Amino acid sequence: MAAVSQKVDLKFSNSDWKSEVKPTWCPGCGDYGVLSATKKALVKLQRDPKDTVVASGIGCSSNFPHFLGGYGIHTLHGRIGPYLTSIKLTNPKLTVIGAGGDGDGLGIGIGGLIHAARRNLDVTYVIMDNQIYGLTTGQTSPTSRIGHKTKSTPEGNIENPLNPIAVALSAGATFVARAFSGDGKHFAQIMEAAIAHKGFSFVDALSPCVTFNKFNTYDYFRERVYNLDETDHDKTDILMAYQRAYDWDHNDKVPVGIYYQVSKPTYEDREPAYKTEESIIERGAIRPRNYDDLIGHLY
Amino acid sequence: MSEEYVNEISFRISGRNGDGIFSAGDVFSKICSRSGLNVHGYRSYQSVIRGGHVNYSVRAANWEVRAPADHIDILISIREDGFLVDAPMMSKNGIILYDSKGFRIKQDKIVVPEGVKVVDMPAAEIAAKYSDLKIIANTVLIGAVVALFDLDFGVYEKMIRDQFSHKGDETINVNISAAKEGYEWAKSHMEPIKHNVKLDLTKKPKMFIGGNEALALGLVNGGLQFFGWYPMTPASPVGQYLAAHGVKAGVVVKQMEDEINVANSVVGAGFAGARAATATSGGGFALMTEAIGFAGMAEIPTVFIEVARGGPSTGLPTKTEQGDLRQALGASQGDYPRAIIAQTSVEDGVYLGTEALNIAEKYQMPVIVLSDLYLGEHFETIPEPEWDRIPIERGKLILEDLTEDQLPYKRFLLTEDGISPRTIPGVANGQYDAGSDEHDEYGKLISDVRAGYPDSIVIRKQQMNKRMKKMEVLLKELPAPVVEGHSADDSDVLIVGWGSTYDTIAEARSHMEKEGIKTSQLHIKYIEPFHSDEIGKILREFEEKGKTIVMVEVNYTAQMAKHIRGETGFNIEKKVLKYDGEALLASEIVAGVKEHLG
Ligand SMILES: Cc1ncc(C[n+]2csc(CCOP(=O)(O)OP(=O)(O)O)c2C)c(N)n1
Ligand code: SF4
Repeated sequence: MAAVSQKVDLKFSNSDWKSEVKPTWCPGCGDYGVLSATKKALVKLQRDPKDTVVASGIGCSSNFPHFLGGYGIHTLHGRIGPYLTSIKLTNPKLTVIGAGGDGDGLGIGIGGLIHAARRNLDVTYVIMDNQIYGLTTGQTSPTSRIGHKTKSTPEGNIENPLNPIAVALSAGATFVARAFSGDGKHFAQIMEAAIAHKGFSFVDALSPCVTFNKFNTYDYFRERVYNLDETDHDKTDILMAYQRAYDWDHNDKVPVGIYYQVSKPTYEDREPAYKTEESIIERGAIRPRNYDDLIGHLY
Repeated sequence: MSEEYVNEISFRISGRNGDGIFSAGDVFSKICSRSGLNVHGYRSYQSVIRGGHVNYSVRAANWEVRAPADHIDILISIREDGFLVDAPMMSKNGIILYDSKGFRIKQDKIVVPEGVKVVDMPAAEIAAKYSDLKIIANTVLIGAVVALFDLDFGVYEKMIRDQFSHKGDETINVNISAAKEGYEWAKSHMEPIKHNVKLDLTKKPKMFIGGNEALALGLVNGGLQFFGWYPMTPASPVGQYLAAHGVKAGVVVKQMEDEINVANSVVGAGFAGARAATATSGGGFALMTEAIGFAGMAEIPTVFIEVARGGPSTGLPTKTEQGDLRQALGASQGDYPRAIIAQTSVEDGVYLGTEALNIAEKYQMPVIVLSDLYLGEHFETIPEPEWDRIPIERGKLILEDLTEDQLPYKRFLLTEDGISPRTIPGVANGQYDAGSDEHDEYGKLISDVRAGYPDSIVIRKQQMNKRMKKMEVLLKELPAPVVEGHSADDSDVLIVGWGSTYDTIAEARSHMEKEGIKTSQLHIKYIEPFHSDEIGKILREFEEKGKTIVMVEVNYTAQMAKHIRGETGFNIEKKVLKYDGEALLASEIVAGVKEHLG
């Protein structure tokens, strides 16, 4: 539930994004870092909570909208993609953010993620990737590494993990980044860039589950992450982005930062219904203005 | 002498997919409507793009024809299968037109029903004089049919001009010349069908529209703003109509990647404040059900149209059935508020589209609209719609920023009617989280850390009661069904039906009345919430007075009869059921009911 904003026309501060609901995540859960980075980015960008919607799926991470001011829709497991699509198309003026888990977005919801990405809607989708199913108490996830022992893979995972960065790149996201929730400052910068980007922004958040994932821990990532900004990476070069995307698989190194960013027309800019008006919400639910378009051919 | 005259026009054209059958049927239908007639058009086809056997039946008359004909006066049989599939429905004195040379119909395939004239017409040869396109043979043949029904050639000519206006004069002239020669050929070679149908070329023709398109038009007229869909026969025409025409009216029409995400996109649009809907068939609807329950839980207005085809599974994709009632009743887990309404006619669609959106928004719940292939895919002339008959009603929707005195805002406020004021994103101070989990009045979850605590147990019950209360309030708003025709005292039989069969049952009744059988009709449109008391009372009254009661349904298990029994305790034992995939005919109802009457 959202805190009520008293100072509608003033600048927005952290307190405008505060929620009455305290996070229910386990102490130390990586998702705290994602929440505070998102808050910081929204304040920095001076987004208005009344014009912001966070859509989530189901999972520990998907409780996210309750812990942040603004509008939220805490939907079904794996369905963030269609909500990003229709909410943005219904009201393009809104800041629309998707927030959910790796099981939610890359398992049950991967179709929705891919199709939302290829539309290049101006939305942001952050996956709190903990390589495990948290809420269901620790089963394997599509991003679990080979050999990872979980409740559903007691002898170790034998499926190749999905590569979320490569998935997002090939799906057509125009902003693809990764951030580590153990580095709050960097994460806030990435979230800011992601929300500011006009187009589909995908952020793979390395967000450890301290309770059920004893494999991909904070230390696991601290030993492996490096910042793309400190390299000669060219974020407009998709082939280079793919190469970096496979660093984890090939070299046991995990790049964080912006892998890829280009500018392309958004879906809503090309939507035929918006040729004549800016927002179907502002127009309202009204009778058709011209019946001939609707029935002229029926005689 | 006068017996030889028929009082309606009954025509069919059949051939293979790709032969232009539907286009020819549509053209002939509009010739009839432009001649001042009421028209019913129905097509039968299969799930292939080329080949197979398809037909289009047109029935036109001075009265309102609202059911498929059970006989054919003139048949154009482009291919030899027409002699197998369609010829048995020929009436005595009917005419079958075919072109043995043009379409290589073998002599031994030509079956001539008793009394029927079978005429070999060189349509392709005539067409070849004007064009290389074989499809022009249809133009020639329709020209002949216009002559044989003694229709006005000028109407056909104007129809061709309108049909090909975007293709230029040459195409228009080729078609007119070919049509004219077909017309003349028939005039000089054959006797026309004798009928006493009165033509009126001065009247403004009526709108000729399909059940699916009528529903789509009704949605747009009702202020539709978002439509998500995924193609599936026979619901696709709803989406296609909206993509072609709704977008110009400012509707966002989005083909999604699958029906799960269609349903969720519709819920998302509803949450964001759009009047939102979708249309699918049984398989797609099955995938949508989790989201429908979410719309019930989070009280998000949404409309889900289910145009049923023959099931189960992929079933009969191009055939009809009222087989998905139980799926609609059982959609999604748990108890949640929703309306289920069955479209009862093509014309009904124009109003139901708006009504469904209104109920969805006023009661903040999903509305399921049931139709089927027969209803959705057949065409009728309908009276000019009264566009303002049903006002656009948005219920307790808040579009203005909330002021201090309205705070704190509780999205799921407990109210007498169970309906809470609803904000949408963009409204200041109205922020909340719409959750699929159980929640309190603010929208805060009670499902995780608080689950099981005494306060949460109370909240759960309060919210459940509040949501379900809306069903009681809605039931009071919906019109209860009434008996049409004879009252229980004065009736021989009560025919009970639901949804798409309304007009066909009415036509069957008129036949029975002519034979001296006194009939009554109880037709069900509102399925959830259900008028259990009223319907139970009607049924018991007929039973107490010793009248026969017959349930008519287009499915195997009599799904509505089961629903009625569950809701009223009344068991309708006598049934007329059809589940072969073909449209229910009035004559079949007559025969079935008479059997029960003994
Ligand atoms: C349709 C459906 N299937 C299964 C579930 C059970 N379920 C809830 S959360 C979840 C997975 C959670 O993992 P993830 O999405 O990675 O999020 P996390 O809890 O790790 O943040 C599952 C399988 C469900 N709620 N709905
Ligand atoms: S179980 Fe894991 S993912 Fe869930 S809240 Fe606890 S630490 Fe976070």
